[in-house]
Amino acid sequence: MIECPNCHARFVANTLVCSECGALLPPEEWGSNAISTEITGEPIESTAESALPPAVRLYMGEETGQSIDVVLDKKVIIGRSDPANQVFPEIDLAPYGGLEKGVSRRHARLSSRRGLIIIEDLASINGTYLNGKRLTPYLPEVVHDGDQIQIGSLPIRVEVL
Amino acid sequence: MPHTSDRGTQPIEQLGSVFHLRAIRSHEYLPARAEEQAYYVLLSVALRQDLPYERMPLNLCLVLDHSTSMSGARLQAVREGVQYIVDHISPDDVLSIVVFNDRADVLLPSQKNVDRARVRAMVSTIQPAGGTELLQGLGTGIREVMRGRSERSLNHLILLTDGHTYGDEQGCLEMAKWAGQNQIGMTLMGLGEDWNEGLLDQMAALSGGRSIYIDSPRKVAETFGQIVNVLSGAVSRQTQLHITLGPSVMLHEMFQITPEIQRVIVATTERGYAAGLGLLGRNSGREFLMEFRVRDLKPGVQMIASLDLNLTAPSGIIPDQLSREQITLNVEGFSPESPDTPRISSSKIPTAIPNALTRVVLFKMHERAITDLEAGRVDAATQRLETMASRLAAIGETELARMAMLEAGQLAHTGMLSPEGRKKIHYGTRALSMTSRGKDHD
Repeated sequence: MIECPNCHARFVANTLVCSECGALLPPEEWGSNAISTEITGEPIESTAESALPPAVRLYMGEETGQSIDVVLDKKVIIGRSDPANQVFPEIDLAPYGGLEKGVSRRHARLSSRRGLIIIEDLASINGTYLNGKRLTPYLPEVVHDGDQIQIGSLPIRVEVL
Repeated sequence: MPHTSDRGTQPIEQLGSVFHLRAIRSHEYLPARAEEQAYYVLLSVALRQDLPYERMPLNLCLVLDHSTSMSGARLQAVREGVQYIVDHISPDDVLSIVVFNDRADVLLPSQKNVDRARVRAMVSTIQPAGGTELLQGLGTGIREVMRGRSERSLNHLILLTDGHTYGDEQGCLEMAKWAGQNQIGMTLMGLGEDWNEGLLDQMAALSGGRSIYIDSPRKVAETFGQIVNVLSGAVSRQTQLHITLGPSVMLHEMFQITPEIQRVIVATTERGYAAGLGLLGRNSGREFLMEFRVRDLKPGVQMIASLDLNLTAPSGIIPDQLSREQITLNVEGFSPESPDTPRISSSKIPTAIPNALTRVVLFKMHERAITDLEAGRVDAATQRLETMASRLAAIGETELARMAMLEAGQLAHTGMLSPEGRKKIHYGTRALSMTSRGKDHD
């Protein structure tokens, strides 16, 4: 089996396109220098060098002093809660002016793989930016300590804990 | 054991007595292992360009809905469309016209040398009334086609409707299947937004024809014209494909890619599988994407499948005989653990395959969004449409992407799609061109 790097759906070996999210799946390689994309069955985070899941502190807005800490032991959605439609993202930006700042209900996703912190835009209307560059929807990017992300027009500084 | 490292697969080209075939395979080599693996083939089927084909005489039946909802511009558009067809068929062609609402009437019994003025007068008398019972029109239409058929004729039924039919869907599907088995193709046209695209799509697939969405009465005559042009260019009846599978291989799915995306209905036969590939014209080939699954692949060369194509020979080429062409798809299993295995990268997969597959996935995403919606899973349907929108944008289909995003918004707020948006996205994804710009797989 292989796993889609975007949505984590699983497919038969050598499947070329993810039928869940439409992403092109990484091609398998064989022989010397080959990098296996097969799933080993073990969660990636459980490797020895990253026994503890990474955690980040997100500083909301420009110098507001407001921050939240997030442990990335699973994928977390950044968005804006909408109780009428039963939408409750793990990182809810509604209290930080999410609606006025163009935050979608399911805007972006934070996760960790091999100890790296990954951000991914979920085809949001107003986009997700990493250090000023707009992310391609569903294309994961690595986030580093001190990076500036922007959800709609809400800036967020990332501190890796 | 593969000898060349980092090489891509080579297409198989085959120029037969009538067919010109090209098979692009995803892999020439696969690791020998018990685990199930995917293997794709993009098959292009065309007729040789250098043969003196003759036009096949048409045996055409128009089956026209004249229910109450067809009043005004719609019925007027149908009258003009019929006129166009009458003006553009040849004296040798057979034409019949059936009108239907809750019942069906033969307006013009099947005949050659159609009197244009008489047809014009007849069509002007059609009045809107009653409901829509598709099976009524279909049954009467097929009887007219059977009356008009000959050894050489290309038999086809063109149905136009603007309403939902209720209770006779199963009968319509069975009749479409029967038509396909008896070399009667169907073009099914839905006018406006209030008709069942799922039913028309299935009927088209079963008969080896196509379904068409017409969003405005202004486009009826133009679409009739296009259909007659395609039929006039056809030089054979249905092409049949027989698939014989290798050991531990199964056919997972098959889609037509061009001229438009459509699921191919594959039947089980004594020899393996069979599918109708539709009409082939002088200049119009078709492409199909097949996904096979192979298990327990052993080292060495193994057959994935043998594809046998048969068509009723173009008139004037090989009279009364079948033209046949066969193509064999093999893969070589290698041991991935062996130290002397050269580096083989599946990133050398020909780009045509992931490009075609991306379009199929987009088409299926919309199908699944509709399934989710009909099962009451509004959030899941909304997410699928949002995902679809972003993928459409990534391949340069900005207009369709915008529409999918609008519909996702509408769905999230109201729990419903607009009837127009639903049809436009469905038929838009089917027509996704292989030349779309953007981030294709390189």
